[in-house]
Amino acid sequence: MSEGNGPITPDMTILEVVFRHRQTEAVFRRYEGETQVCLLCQALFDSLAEVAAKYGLDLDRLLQDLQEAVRTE
Amino acid sequence: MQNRELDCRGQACPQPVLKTKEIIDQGDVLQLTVLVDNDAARENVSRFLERSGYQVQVAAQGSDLAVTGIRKQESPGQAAADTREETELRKILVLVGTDRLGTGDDELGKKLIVNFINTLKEMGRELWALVLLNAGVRLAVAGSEVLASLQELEDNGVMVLVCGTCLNHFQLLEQKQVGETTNMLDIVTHMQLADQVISFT
Repeated sequence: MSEGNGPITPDMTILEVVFRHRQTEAVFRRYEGETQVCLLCQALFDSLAEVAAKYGLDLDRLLQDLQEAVRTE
Repeated sequence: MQNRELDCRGQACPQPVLKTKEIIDQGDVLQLTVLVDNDAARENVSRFLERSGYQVQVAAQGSDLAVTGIRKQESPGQAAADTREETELRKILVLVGTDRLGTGDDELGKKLIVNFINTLKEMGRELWALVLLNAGVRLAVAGSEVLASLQELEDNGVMVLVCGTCLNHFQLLEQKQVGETTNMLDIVTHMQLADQVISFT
């Protein structure tokens, strides 16, 4: 797969997001408080949309938080 | 082609996978052994290597785990005849972007797509991947008439790729029964790798 620095989209997996933007790891760690599971361990290959649906997260808020972390690159 | 080793002991997820990916992305790795010390890292590194086309073996080394991936196409000892057959087989990707075939009568179109999916297996081993997108994702969710056929294709080694954005759009993520949820980058990559793309939209 090629790597790029385009926008973060719901169909990207957690792995893709973290690989491209390492600082987003902290965002996923923050969400573990809500999900009660280690997303970076148990949902690494799931898309953001799947993760949001599975763990009842607000997908728009997750995307916004990830984009915010990327902007501080 | 290289054999590489990576020591990821003491590292929390996702670091072992990220480091494994960095090495695999270099593209000339025949065999890679990743040393990890926890089950989550073993599971994720194994899964990543498998998805990257490696055959995976796990061996205990004291309290640690050695995850070894060997690139499938380059496996030593593979019969020459098999290799020749593999290389002579075309890779056909079928892209289905609809839940009905053709225009004119929608009811007829729905029957035709069911017939089409049920008949796809006749392509034999050359059928390499089936991509479902837009309304085509409805074929892979609960209630679809072709779930058994799709499952049979997948069991026979056909990659069934289901567009995640489309499932999400139709709010069908939780209803998907068959195939791997995928994204546009994966779809485009597979189209590029295919020898022939047949598209129904």
